[in-house]
Amino acid sequence: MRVPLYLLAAVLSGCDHGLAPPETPPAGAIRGVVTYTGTWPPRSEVRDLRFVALRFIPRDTTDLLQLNRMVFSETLAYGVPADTFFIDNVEAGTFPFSGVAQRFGTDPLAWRPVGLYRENGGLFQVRPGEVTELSLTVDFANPPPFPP
Amino acid sequence: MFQVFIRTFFDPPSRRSVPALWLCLCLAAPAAAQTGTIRGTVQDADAQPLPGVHVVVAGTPRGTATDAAGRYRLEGLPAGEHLLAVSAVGFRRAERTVRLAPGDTLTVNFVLEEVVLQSGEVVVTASRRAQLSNTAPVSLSVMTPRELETRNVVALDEALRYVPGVQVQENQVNVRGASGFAYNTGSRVLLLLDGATLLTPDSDGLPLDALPMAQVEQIEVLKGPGSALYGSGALGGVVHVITKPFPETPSSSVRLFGGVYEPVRYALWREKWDDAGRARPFGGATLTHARRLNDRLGFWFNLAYRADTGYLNFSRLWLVQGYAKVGYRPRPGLRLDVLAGLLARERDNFLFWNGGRDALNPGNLSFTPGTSPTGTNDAFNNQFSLLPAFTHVVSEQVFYTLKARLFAVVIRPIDDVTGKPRSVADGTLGFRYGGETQVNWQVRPGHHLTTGASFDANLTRSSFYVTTDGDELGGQPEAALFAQWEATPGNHLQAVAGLRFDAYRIDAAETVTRLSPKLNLAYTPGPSLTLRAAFGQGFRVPSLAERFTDNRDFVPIARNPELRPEESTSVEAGLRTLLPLSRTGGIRLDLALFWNDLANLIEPKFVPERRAFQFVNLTRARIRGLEAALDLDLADERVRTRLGYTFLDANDRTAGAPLPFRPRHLLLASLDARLIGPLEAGFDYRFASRPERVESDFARFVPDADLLVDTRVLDLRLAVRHGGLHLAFLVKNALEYYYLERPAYLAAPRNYTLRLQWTH
Repeated sequence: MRVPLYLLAAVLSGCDHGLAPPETPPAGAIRGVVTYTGTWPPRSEVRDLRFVALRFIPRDTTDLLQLNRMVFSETLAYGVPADTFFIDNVEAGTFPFSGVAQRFGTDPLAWRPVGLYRENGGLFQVRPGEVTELSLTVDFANPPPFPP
Repeated sequence: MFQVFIRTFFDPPSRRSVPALWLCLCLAAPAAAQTGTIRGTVQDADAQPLPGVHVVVAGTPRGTATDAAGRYRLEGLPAGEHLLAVSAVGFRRAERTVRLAPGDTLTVNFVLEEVVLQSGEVVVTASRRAQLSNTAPVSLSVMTPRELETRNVVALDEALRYVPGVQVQENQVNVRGASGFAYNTGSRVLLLLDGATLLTPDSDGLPLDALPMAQVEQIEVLKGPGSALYGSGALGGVVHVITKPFPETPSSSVRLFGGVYEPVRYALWREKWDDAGRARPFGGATLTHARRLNDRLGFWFNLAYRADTGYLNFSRLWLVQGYAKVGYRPRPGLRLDVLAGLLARERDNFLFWNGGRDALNPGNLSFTPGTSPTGTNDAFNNQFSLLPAFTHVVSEQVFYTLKARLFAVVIRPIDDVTGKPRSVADGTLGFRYGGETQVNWQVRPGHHLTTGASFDANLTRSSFYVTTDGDELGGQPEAALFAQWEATPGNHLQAVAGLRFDAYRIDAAETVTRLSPKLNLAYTPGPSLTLRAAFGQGFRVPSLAERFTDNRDFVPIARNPELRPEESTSVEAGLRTLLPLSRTGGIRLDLALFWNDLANLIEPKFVPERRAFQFVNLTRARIRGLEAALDLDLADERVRTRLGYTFLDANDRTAGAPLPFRPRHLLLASLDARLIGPLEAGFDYRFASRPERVESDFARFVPDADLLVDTRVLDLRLAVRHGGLHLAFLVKNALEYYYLERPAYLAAPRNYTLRLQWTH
């Protein structure tokens, strides 16, 4: 009795084991140079500064909360004329909107772009096994309009 | 012989004895001048004593339960002719008419014949008074101690996974799709412990760990709105945990269990967390003792310890829990019970994963590398409950109960640096307290009036709250009046009408009121068929957490004091039938069609203007479907099976899309079989189809939050019973099937448990 019922249950369950880790997607890297012009705001107004690349074009600031669809660098240095960043293991794909983002307040969502990547209409691609080179300019006094 | 059973079971209510109130089962009637005593024993066909058997005097609230030696005693019965009715789960009901002379002590012994079909269990949730389950004109499922024991159930959520139509999503109970998923904030299912509301004061969640599971007499699950009797929270159903009475002779038990989670199958997951490659242990112990000290005083206690290293990174748990119940009967007709419990628990709350490729680690919403993951928090939790209840049998027809309740919760977050609990000022301190009175009046045979009033207050201070007046203290007092009339006109029809008025004080300036009606009909045209129809309305007042939480530590949440109550209107039609297959075996079938309209459903929604999630009244929904529950007893009682299937059509009428987090199909199949000698085996198989929709706002933050699969879980068990010893080996999730208990939260992998219990 037990064996047939076990088999029945096994048949009901199918042969798969349910959830499996999704395939690891092919990945590349992003290397960039950021050049600063103009005057830096006070330190208290630059709570964080990072390069952020989005896989979509944001419609408003709330779209920036789609952390799953963006990559970002380590914190960039404050008060320097230029800085570099390198982001490894970036899932290959297209990034139509990217730039340097400044966190200006205590609110975790208080971020704004202060310099965009503009070459090729602002779009770049990360290809498997390749390093994509970018260069950006940041002028805190003239931030780009947002939403774009 | 079986026809006798059928006839007994399906006799119209007016001709069958129905115990009037479970809460009074151990009460004797008030002393009278011309009284006598009936005593005796209840045994099975093998002359083994049957403990816990209900013995009632038909048509009256008089009754008791047998002790561990199968003995019972009914004192203070008026002289005259009485019909004694004896019923127990798993046994054929027995009745005997006796004539009692003044001053006499009659000995009336019963031998019950075992049956497999659980057709005559006494339930109390459907009508706030005891009745046989087949007379309840609503959908109701019952779990027995035996079912809890064989599955090594140590917490309520584990028990509810085996109830047809119920789905447990980690710590949230979902009856027929009434609940979605809201991190246990604002349960749409009400929890009662011995008739007293037991929802956490801060979030109105179910305290699943804080129940004396080894002293549970039975668990009843009412499916559908229960607000007409129980008020807020019973929007989608009621789970009622009923504890055991006191035995005549001392009874003790010791349960030890231990087990391991098997290392996960996938190397990618193991790479991300070293411990995933090792067996992760868990275990626990439970000690119980119950006894009567004398004719007036009895008690039991339940001590439990549990530790679990967890199968997810940051999901450890340890807890110590103690419960005690004391009963005092100063004289016949009066009874005072006090149930008190205490819980100390430290637990890592795994909130959401770091994606499908890193399912065992919590995710992180922070931009800053190296900070603590926001996908988990850990806290030290104390809970205290005190539930006194007083019952007075005024006459043969009238008795009343007075109840009070206090439920306190202290939550202290664990400091990331020191690893010790921080001050309660950084956490939550909450109290829910109140009282209730209920009068049961048997106006005339077959006509019952149940009426009462209740009051509750909720006072919680939390560092997560910002209330309307700006401080961290929230309160939500509430009061209610309720009444229900039951009538059995003729021999075939039973009608129940009820109405409850609730008033909730939202703040100093506003009070919200609700009227919750219900109407139930049951029709028994023949000996093997009962038809039923039910209409009811329910509502749920937003919890303090939903209204006042304002925090950005984990996920940005903004408060919303303007939340309105959720509402539901439900209709149901169903039938129960019993078909004999052999002398003692048969099929019991319960079918239900249900239709539930829900309004103002509260859901967490990302609000762009606030740049945070907010609980908002968002959705109008319709949940309709059907449910079939089939109990089969085969092979001369040696094989018992249960099948439950629920079809859900859950639609968000606001969005014009499926209601998120609800499966379309639920299936439950269970089998228990006696093999050779003392050897027993069984299995449970649970299936839930993949939800058709996941709330997209959640997936904005959490990687792969929309990654869901069907739930297909097979649990196996093998046990040996010898005397008071019970040794069991359980394999849960035996097919090593990986699924998600709820979005971004992997359910337990295959795990093994060895359990030893000694009962004396």
